[in-house]
Amino acid sequence: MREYKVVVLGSGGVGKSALTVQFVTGTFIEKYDPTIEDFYRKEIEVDSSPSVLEILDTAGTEQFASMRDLYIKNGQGFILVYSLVNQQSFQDIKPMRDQIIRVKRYEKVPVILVGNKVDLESEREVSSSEGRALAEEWGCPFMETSAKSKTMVDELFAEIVRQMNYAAQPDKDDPCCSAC
Amino acid sequence: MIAHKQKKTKKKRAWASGQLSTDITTSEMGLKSLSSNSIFDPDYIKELVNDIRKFSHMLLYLKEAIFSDCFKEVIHIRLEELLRVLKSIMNKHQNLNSVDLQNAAEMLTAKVKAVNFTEVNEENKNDLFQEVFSSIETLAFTFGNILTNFLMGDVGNDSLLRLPVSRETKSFENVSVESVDSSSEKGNFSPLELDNVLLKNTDSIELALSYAKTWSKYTKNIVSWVEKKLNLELESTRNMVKLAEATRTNIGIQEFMPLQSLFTNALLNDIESSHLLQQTIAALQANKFVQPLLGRKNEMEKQRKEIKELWKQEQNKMLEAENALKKAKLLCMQRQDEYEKAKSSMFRAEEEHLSSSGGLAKNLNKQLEKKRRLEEEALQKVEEANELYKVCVTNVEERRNDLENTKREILAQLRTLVFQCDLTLKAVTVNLFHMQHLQAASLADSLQSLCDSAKLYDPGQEYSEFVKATNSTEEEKVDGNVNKHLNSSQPSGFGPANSLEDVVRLPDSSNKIEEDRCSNSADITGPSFIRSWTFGMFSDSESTGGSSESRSLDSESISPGDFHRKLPRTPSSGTMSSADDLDEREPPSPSETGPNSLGTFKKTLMSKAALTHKFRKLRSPTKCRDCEGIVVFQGVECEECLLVCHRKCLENLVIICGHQKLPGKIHLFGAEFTQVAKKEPDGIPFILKICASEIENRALCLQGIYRVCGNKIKTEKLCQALENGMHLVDISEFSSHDICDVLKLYLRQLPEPFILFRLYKEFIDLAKEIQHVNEEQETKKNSLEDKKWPNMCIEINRILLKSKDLLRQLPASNFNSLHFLIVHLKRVVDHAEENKMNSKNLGVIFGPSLIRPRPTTAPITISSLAEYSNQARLVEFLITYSQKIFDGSLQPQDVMCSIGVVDQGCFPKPLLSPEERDIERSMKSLFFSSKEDIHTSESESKIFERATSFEESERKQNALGKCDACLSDKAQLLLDQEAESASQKIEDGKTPKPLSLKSDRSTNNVERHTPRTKIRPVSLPVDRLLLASPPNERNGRNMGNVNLDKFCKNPAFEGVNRKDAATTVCSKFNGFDQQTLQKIQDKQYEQNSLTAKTTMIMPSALQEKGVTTSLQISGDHSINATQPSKPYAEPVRSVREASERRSSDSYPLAPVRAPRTLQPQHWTTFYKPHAPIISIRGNEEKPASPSAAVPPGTDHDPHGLVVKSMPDPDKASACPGQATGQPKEDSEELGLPDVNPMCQRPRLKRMQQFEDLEGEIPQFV
Repeated sequence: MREYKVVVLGSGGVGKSALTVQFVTGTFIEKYDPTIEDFYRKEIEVDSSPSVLEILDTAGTEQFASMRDLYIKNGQGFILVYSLVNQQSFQDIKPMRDQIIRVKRYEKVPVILVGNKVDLESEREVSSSEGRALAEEWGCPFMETSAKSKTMVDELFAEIVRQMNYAAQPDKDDPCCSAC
Repeated sequence: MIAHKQKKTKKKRAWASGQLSTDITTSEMGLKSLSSNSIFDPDYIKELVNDIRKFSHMLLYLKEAIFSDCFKEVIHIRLEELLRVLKSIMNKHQNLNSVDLQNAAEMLTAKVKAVNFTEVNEENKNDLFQEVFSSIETLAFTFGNILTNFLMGDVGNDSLLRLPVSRETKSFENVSVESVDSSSEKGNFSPLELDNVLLKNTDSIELALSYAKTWSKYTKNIVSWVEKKLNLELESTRNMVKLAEATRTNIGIQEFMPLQSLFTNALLNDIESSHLLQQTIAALQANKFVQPLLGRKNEMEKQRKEIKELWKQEQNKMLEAENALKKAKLLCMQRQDEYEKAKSSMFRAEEEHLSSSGGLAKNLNKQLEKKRRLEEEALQKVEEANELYKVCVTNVEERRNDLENTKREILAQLRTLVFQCDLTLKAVTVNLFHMQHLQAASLADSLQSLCDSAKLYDPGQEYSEFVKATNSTEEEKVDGNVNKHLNSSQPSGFGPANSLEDVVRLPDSSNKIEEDRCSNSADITGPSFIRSWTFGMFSDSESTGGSSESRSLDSESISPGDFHRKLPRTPSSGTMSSADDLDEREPPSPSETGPNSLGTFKKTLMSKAALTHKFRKLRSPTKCRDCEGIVVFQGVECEECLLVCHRKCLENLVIICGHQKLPGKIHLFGAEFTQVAKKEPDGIPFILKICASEIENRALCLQGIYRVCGNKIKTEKLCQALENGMHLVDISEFSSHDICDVLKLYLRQLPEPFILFRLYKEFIDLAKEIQHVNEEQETKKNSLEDKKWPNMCIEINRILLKSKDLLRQLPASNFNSLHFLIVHLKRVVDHAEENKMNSKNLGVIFGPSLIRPRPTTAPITISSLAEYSNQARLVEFLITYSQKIFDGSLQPQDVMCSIGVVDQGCFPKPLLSPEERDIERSMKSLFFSSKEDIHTSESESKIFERATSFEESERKQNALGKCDACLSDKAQLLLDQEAESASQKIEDGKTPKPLSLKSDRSTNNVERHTPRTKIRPVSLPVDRLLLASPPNERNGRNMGNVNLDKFCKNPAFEGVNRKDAATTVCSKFNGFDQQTLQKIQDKQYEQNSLTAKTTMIMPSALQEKGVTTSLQISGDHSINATQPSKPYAEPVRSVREASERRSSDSYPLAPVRAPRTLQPQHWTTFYKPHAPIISIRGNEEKPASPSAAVPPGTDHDPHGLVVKSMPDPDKASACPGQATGQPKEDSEELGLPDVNPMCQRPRLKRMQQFEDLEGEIPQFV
């Protein structure tokens, strides 16, 4: 059974933990506690192959930005989450992707761009097209999810697994992976 | 014929012109003459002429009425008649019916109505009625025209629209309703009439009821329409607001966009009007439209049903009565029939009786009798029935009356009901449209103004501004970097150097100097702010090139402490001319300056803050205080605060005018905390206060406050503004999240957090304890419920006490700031229900900003996560228990009170464990500004505690003393050698040493001062200046040494004075020191770390005592500094700054130092520590303290004192063994230096290890 190390990144309060917990336990956490770091493990079946997801839910708050390098070093796939009701969180996501590329020294790191809180459609500040455009620029999948209403959550994690599979196949002797 | 007609028209015109009295006859005659020739039927013409005559009479009457008595009523009646006549004419003669005529008539009525009759008097009559007259004339003229056309025969082809008469009348009704109360005439019934009309109708009630029903249906429809519409509007306004807000923030980011401000205004308008609209909608939804109408409708429904019910009952009764009547009638008829029968049978019997006689007669008689009886009975019954019938008839009659009455009543009721409802409907409708009108009107106005201002925009203007701005900044940069190029590229138009200019330019150049310094210091401290370097280069050349006078004057007044930093730039002054050249770029053109040029700024859009300034044209190129670009052409300057900025930046300027010279840019983010804190009387940085108060004012209930990130660009701008304008920044323009971000950023960028590095471990231990207690609490709660609660309280109290103890060890400014922040956070937590930020959340967010370990080069590992959670836990604890922790007992005293107290406190100290104190003092003096360190109350109490424990400690100390002394000596040697390596004269340094060792107190004094004196030496040229002072210092020390107790105080003062004098001169050159110092210190640090590694054994147990003593000492120190400060206000400041700088420089040493302060406790725990351990410890610690001192020493020979001073503390610590210790030190010194250099490389890593281990040490203890 393959293990996948997934890191969830994004600025503060965008719903990283909510997404992760929704995926792992199937419940929506109402509490509003900032994360320092949480680790989850879940077995799922993606494309009829069982896999184990090790999900690192990280701190969004700037104070812990120094830990990001470490997370990135340890991760294989990255879920970059922004809140589509907060334009700034969308802006913040860009340097994070740059950081991933910088740390991994590799362009094709499995990444998914995720706009969370799609249930708050009425308060939307980041349009779908903006998100899609950025994802296209990065050459990565794009999704709009809602941890609250469990929209696209399972799909998201399945997709990241696929991305990691995809990334591992073409160039197996990639130095990045051995480093991980 | 044609001539005729023309004549007629002429006449008509003349008639119409208003001279009715004279012209009417002629017009009639004209008509008559015309009529004879006309093709029309003569009778018709006659009629027409009659009508026209009537009409003209009416016009005449109206005029008369106006001229004569001018009663409103009379005029209105006349007008009424006139209109009626006109109407009838138009009815009769369809050909005359035209829109023009109607318009003219309407105009006339409107004009008449418009007259305010209460104001009318003889004088203004003509004025007031002028319009009426003119409209009468128009009417007449129009009528004449139409008539002419008609008579000429071309009316049929007339393009005028002919309206159907019915509509015509209607429109007149409308017109006249208000002018004259003639509603009845016009077809409106009075209420009673209404009822009567209805009464005549058989099913009137049904009609009325059905009307009521339709009314309520209709209203229902109306209400639902209005409600739906309002909801839609509400939603759309919400979206509009959101859109506008988003757009506004987006737009705000871009610069130089055409019509930017206009659109910002438009967006603001949008938002404003949307808010207004929302209010309106809310009002309409509530008491202005929907509610009253719905209420009325419901009431209507209810009453209608009641009435219907009543009416049904009445009708039923009526029906019953009628039925009864019918029955009675039937009965009556039946009886009648029976009676008839009985009668006939009786007659027959009689006849038989008559015809038959004899024997039959008897029978017949009987029969006859019977029949007769029957007949009588039947008759009786008939009569009864008749009576019954009569009764029934009357009954029915009554019923009918009743019914009629109830009908009337019901109709009246219904009528009033309908009237009321109509009234309400009318009122709310008026409300609705009035409010909508207001809304639209204001919108229209603002749109109009926007439109107007948009018209003023000159296409391409912004673009050219943009190009200009980019050009200018580029030019400047080029200038700064390549001086020669600048010289050649200067436009010839700029005049020659003006001596006056220098003076004018002073503020500007000083600003640059300030900024230079900032950039310099930023470079030193490391993080960020590199961007200012380019400007730094530029201003470098300028500052050096500028007159020396201006430089000293300015910088002195702005921040003397920073002055020394200029020195390192001297080398770049090679091209002196460049600075002068720069100044002349924009020559002072007196004609343009001053109020004359003010007009030009009026056009530019200004932010709120910008409006507080009085701008004039900028005379010399400087840096913009808003965007930090160079201002050359498009610059303005405030007359009062001398703030300079681009004209285009006025839009975004957030610094308000302080009406006095705006201080230069300060280095705030990433700058030493003490540097900022010292500028505030309570040591709390202004940024903390500004941000906290703003957030408390508006954002306490905002969800995710302090958690959600702000806009990066805005945040940066705010940071910049805060550095430029300090407390004058108007932060209300920024969003709450931006402000939070700035506050967090400030805390995060502090080189050393509020909770000092040296206390990190203690606080983290505390956090661990808290965790422990919490866990216990959890388990106990689960198992034993609340039985052990008191125990827990005790535990928590213990931790509270401990945390208080630890907090006491913070310098006052740190403590105050921390206190301020925690109290603020507590306020945030108080609103946790709304903002969802409880103390745990805030703990996580502020944890790493308030308390963090000393940064290391080692990579971050997962283990630091545990640290994070501990940091978070500690901050959470501080917030949760903020009231208990920061109660009165912890209040640090302010400087003024403390001075006296500390003075008294001075004496007892030496009695206590002197070594520690001395060390502490020296350390303290290095680390903190004099003002802030004083916790007198605590220190006093500590002193007494100390006194009691002194004897014990002394014994131990004696034992240890020797060892310590040896170690300290070694350390000294080390230092000395370092100093040598730095090409300094060792001799100077060595000579003073022995002196200092002689007396504790004297050494104390010396130590305190020496750190400062060290500062001066750094810059070489200064040394010469200072040469005079060092001897004084020595003298002072000597005195102290010789006289011991007597002079213990005096030397201190002398020292201070000396320092002050010296530092005033020297401080200017401190900047250079810092850099060199750092390098040196880094080296030393490595060495220390090596030793530190070996010292793992050292129990780092409790600095508590040590630290508290340090506070006392620092208190002493402050006295020294503050007392002299009166006479030498400025010097003192510089001294302080110097010491602070020193403290910052010496940071890296802190952890190593800390163990030393712990010594006393170790002694109590380990009475006889092994000699080797101690020695090791000595090695580590001593180098540490010297390290701070060494750098200066290395730089400076004359201040051998410096070197000496560093060892002093060490020796002081060894003081119990004083004299004996010295020789050993000397001997050991020689050995040590060799060891250290070898180990330098590996140290970094080991340092890390050591620090890790350090964390575990307390557990060993």
